[in-house]
Amino acid sequence: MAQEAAYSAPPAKSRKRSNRQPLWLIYLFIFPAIALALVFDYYPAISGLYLSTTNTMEVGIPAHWIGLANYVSLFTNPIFLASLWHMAVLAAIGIAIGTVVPFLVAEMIFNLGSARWRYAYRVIFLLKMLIPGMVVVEVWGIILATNGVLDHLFKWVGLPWSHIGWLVDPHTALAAVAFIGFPWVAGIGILIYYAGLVGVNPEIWDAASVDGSRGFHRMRTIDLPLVMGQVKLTIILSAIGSFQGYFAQFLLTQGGPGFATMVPGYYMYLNAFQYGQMGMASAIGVFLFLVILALTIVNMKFVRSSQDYAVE
Amino acid sequence: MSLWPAKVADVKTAGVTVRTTTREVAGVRPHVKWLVHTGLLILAFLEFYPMILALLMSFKTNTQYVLHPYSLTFPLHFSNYVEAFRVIWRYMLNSVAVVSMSLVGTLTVSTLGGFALGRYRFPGREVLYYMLIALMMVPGVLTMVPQFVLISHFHMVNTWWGLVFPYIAGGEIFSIFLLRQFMMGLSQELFDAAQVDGATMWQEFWNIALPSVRPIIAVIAVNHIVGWWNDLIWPSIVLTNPKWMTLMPGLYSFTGQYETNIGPLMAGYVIGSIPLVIMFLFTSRMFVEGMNSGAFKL
Repeated sequence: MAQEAAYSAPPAKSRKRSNRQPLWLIYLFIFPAIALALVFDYYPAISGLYLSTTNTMEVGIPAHWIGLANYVSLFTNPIFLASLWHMAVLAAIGIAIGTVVPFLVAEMIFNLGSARWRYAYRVIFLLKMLIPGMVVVEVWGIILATNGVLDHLFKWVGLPWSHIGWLVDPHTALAAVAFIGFPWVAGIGILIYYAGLVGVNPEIWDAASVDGSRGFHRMRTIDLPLVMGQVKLTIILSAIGSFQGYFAQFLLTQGGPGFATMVPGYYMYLNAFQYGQMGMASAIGVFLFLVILALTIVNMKFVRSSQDYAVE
Repeated sequence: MSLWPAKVADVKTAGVTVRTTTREVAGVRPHVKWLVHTGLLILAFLEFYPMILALLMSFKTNTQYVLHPYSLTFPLHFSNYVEAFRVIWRYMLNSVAVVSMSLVGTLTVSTLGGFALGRYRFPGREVLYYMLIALMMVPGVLTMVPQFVLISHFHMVNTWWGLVFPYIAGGEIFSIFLLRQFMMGLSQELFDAAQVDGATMWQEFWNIALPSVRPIIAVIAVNHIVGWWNDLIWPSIVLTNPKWMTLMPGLYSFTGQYETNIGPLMAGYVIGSIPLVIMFLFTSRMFVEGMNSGAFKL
């Protein structure tokens, strides 16, 4: 890739690179970026680690160090443990959806003969990513509500599933949260897979065609192994996304009914800004950070750099 | 401004040349093709169904909504839009202000930083670069609570600064990563010539480097604008005074007020979604690239 080349090429030329400028001037150029990163990124990250070991309640209230007590009480807290389970369920669904759907749709788009249509479909699904997530989730709240669109649809096809509201019934609430966004096509995944398919040598498909391999058979036996790097990347991205997200909880369920849709991210939000338990909230933040960090490291070690799926 | 690429061949994007296939892909028979089109159009319809629903409901009175909630009903009540706009115009202006300030800040610090890191050698260059890049591994969930504590100590709660500074500090990281790479890729000859003419570092930056990386700056800008315009949770924590609220927390409180008045509520949602769509019409190519570059992110 051109970028990779740019990245690895410099040593040959760098001797020529000017140092005629005074050093202080060069440092002055990067100073704003470094200063902002130290104050607004590094300081919060590190103070978050510290906060998680204090009994801080709210800003301005004196607190003291309590060691790992927050972590201990988290992992004995049935609400938090339930939220971990919900997170795992939502992540499993999110990963399955986030990997399979974009692959299938990218294949559908890629296999269209017309370049114009291919571009048009990609633009259409991209357009969806501009719509504020808040608006989309709020309207989904109406779709899933008592006597909402889904209930009307079931009544119309004659299914006896009339319901007290999919997000209100504790048995269906978590599934309903997972269902928000159906059919989950729009997103970065479709671009990742599409770029992956563009990068495949077309001769492979010519050969497959000669061998009579078409459609789903070709997708499964030939295309899928070729985009395995993209599969891994979308797995990691979907996992990280679903570990952090709590839009539906924030806007629609507030973690309920009861705690049926509680997830750690939202529990952190509640602890920090509703319950006045900032120390506890920071402990949840640190825990999620460690989980995500582990995934990121797995990603860097075993998944090809995401730069490999660069721009089209 | 056309949505169609002029020529789908080697599309040169921001210094990255990518091969695009122009030839027909083998293996799709005509009747399968129509099946695929049908499938994609159904998926597109379902994907946009919430927006279609919002649009339909935005023209209704409550009576129309109770009688025919999900179909088009006449007469269309455009007055819903007037009512919604009367409330949310202020939030939109606030968002424009916050996004502009954050964008100017992010682009300033990251082009300066990317230029120094990409074009100059100096002690500590690698350390500083990796110090910035390491932040890509720090997720928002870790920093949200302590960042709020910090913002409180700086008395930035209920001010735009409480959004702008964290936005810049968060946005600069990936921007510097991209800009440094593109700055490194620039040809040395231009800079040599400028140095012979006695150009200052600022002149090199402003007259040579900056114009050369303009495409990638546009990509970065579009990406940030979308993220900040649609941001809900952080601004709703920082801004509780309606006077300063940006669009998403504004719409959130609007939702509370208009819960039982579906027409204006949906009209508000539609109005809030429009600005980015308009921006898209003007920047579709940059936008496609910008979203693609989002695939770099972790």
